[in-house]
Amino acid sequence: MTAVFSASPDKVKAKSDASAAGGLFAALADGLEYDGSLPKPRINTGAQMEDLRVNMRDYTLKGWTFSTGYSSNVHGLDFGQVVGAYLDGKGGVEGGPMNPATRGTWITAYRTLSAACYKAAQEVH
Amino acid sequence: LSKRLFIFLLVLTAGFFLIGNLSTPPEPAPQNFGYQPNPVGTQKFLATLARPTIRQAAPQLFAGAGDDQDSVLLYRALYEAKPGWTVGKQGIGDCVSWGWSHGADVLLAVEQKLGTSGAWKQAATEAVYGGSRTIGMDRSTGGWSDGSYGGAAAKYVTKAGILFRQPYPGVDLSEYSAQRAKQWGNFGVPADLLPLAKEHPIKTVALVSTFEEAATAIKNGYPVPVCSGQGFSSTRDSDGFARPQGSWSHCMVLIGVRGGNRPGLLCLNSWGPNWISGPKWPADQPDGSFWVDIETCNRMLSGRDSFAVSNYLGFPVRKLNNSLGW
Repeated sequence: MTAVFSASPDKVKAKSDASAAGGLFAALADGLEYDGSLPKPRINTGAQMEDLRVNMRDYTLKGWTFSTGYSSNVHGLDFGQVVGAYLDGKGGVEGGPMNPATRGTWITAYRTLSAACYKAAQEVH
Repeated sequence: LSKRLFIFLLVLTAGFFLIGNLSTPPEPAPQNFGYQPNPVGTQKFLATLARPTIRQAAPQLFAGAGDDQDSVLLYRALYEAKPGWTVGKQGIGDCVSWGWSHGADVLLAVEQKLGTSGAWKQAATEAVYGGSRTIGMDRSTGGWSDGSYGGAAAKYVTKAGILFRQPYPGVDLSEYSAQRAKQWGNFGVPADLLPLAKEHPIKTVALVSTFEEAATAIKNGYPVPVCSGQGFSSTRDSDGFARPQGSWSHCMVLIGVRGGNRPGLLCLNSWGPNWISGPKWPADQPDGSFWVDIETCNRMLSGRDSFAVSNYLGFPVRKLNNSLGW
């Protein structure tokens, strides 16, 4: 993720955005984990999880998207493409039922992305 | 004097007649029913199934006895699938198709909620009706009299499949038509639509003959279209139950189970939202439904023409796009 955020000429904003992305991924992981601990979880499918993460990004960033500032058209590396390729490899693309094992896979993947973004926030200069 | 006595007796007789009529609730019209039991036909269908009863088809459901305090309300999945959903109203003696179509609608809503179907669509009753009276009864035309039975509907939905409330080539099934139900009840589902129905069968049906079996099916997400001769009051009591009374040759669907100190099953009728009044439990209990006590459920299901439905071949689940939406 450092490469994604480093491509921006505005390093101050890039550090801030990387930190925001780290927070978003962490919140997604924590939310999925908490939901899984409920007697009747509300996020039971991959499709529901995808809706959750799109809504969380929307509310957290008040409509702004990382892809707006970090797309291949703007600075070379595309935030969505990088994150998407990683998640495709870890969690897959099935929108069907989520079991505890697949939930765990997604939680780990989001936590890894969170750590990578916080690291990018430190490393972008 | 005799003239006065005559008038007095006339008024007295008329009074008794009037009071008698007022105290006895009117029986629903014949077009509100349509269940014609055919034990031989149902038995013949059951003989084609490798595991005809729910205990044979899904013994694992009975392995771990559930908590009798549990309540499971399948209609809530329907509320999520179709906000503003309301119960349907039959126009001829096609109750069997309504019981089964309502059951299919609840099942598909449950499957969508669980993530095994990517979409929800409402079943078209006319197809289930016409199909049950032809394919379901092994005949090319069904005749113009009304009626069907559970085994025939079970055979149709498993062998032929479901059409939805939407436009199809040559016919728009978006709205219920009693006239179309009547026509298809004789002619069957048009041949050019059968391949489309075949894409969405209910793949598994299993005979349910006791309260415990129906409760177990519902707790696992499987509605139970119920065909019986049991009638009910049109007023719910303080707990939402309807008193069993009279005889209805009728098909409805069981879509909820409750435990506690007054266990029962929730029965959804097909006479629209306003035929029954009185308190509900819980507050979001569907209009047009009522709770049935254990003893009455056992009596209804003992007719051996009621089935748990499962494994509806719905719609593909959407693929995730992990690159978009960031």
